[in-house]
Amino acid sequence: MTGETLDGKEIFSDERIYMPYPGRNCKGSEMGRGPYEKCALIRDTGLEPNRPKHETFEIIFPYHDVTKDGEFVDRVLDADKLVAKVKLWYVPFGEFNGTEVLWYEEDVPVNLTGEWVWKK
Amino acid sequence: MRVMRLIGLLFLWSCLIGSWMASQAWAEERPLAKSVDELIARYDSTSCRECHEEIYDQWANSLHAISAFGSGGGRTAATFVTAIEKGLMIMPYSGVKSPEDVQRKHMMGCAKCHLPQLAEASDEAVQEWIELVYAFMEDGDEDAEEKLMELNIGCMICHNRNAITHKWVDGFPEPGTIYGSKEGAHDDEAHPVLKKGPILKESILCGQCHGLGPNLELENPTQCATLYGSYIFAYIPEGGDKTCQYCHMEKTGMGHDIKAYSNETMIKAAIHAEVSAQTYYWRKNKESGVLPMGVVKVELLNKSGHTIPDG
Repeated sequence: MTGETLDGKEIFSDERIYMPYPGRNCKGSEMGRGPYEKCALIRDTGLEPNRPKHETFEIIFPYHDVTKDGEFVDRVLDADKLVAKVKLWYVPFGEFNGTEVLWYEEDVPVNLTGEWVWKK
Repeated sequence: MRVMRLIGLLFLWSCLIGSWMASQAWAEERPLAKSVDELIARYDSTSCRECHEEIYDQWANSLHAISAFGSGGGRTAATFVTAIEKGLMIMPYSGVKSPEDVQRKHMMGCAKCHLPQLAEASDEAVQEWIELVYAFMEDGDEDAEEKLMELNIGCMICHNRNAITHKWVDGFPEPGTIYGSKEGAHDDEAHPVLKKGPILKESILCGQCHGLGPNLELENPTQCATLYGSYIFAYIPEGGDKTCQYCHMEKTGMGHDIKAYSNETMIKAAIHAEVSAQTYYWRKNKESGVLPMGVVKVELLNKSGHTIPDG
């Protein structure tokens, strides 16, 4: 998920990875390299059937502080409108190498509204 | 009259015994295929197209048709090489120091699912197959590529070899028999008998290959897919009641063109996503003050019958 200002400047980027983490020969804690040594699961963050997965991404809107003689004067928003670009990729080989498939894509407006009274 | 009746009973009894013995002979290992060509011929499904053109063409477009070669120009074949060089050759007790040492048992970890009929190949045939894989991978040998693509999960795998899982209950798959939806005669010289396949519409048909976890029956267990495992242990407990065949063949209308992650129809069926956003001014603490905050909430729902991703 990325957050951009309306002029396309990226100010936020984060991701979640959903996948099984098979062990290596069912011993230790290292992931197996290929089917020939993958064994059971160390962890699994995959999307389980019929179990909703809720993700939350927190983006601080860009702002800057105005100071005078080292003292805080004001906090000013640089942008009060952002676009959150959400994409879900299926990456079959773990690499973005042309084999990835875009499963879902949505751009959502994130608009700050209301009065901002207390800055500090 | 009594003699005729006795002869008739003896004849009937010998037919029954003969049929049972034939099925047992099939159950016991047939002579191993001595060459790749022999293995291909044994499971050749090309004649099916004559009468089942639509189904055959659907299948030909699926990954089952290139199960041992792979999409993207031979990814599965490439992984066989990796399995040999990064797996078998560094396993101290595998007995494999070079590709020339590879035997059938070494490849069954992959072939159990990608080419189940390899269980009927001699080590000689397996070596020939490995040579073809290397010829394609290292030299781009087109003849090798063509031959490799003839080794696949065709009609005769699901509709004969793998058509029965519970052999003590339903019998062993019989030679010359197609397991389908009907009983009777089948208009094909090589396969003149049609029988109802007991698991054709059951998920276990697919589960034979699409994985429960480590294949512990092997000397050195492999694990590729765990999809059938997640179907049983995650999807069903969450109230799921559909079969693999229902979602991947019937509901999509794609029949034997069984697709997965790269297909738009399957993607839409697999995932539901909702995104929303909220903003507020967050009084964090004295040092940071009040910060303008945006919160993007994403809800993902896997509507399929198994974990995603898996295979």
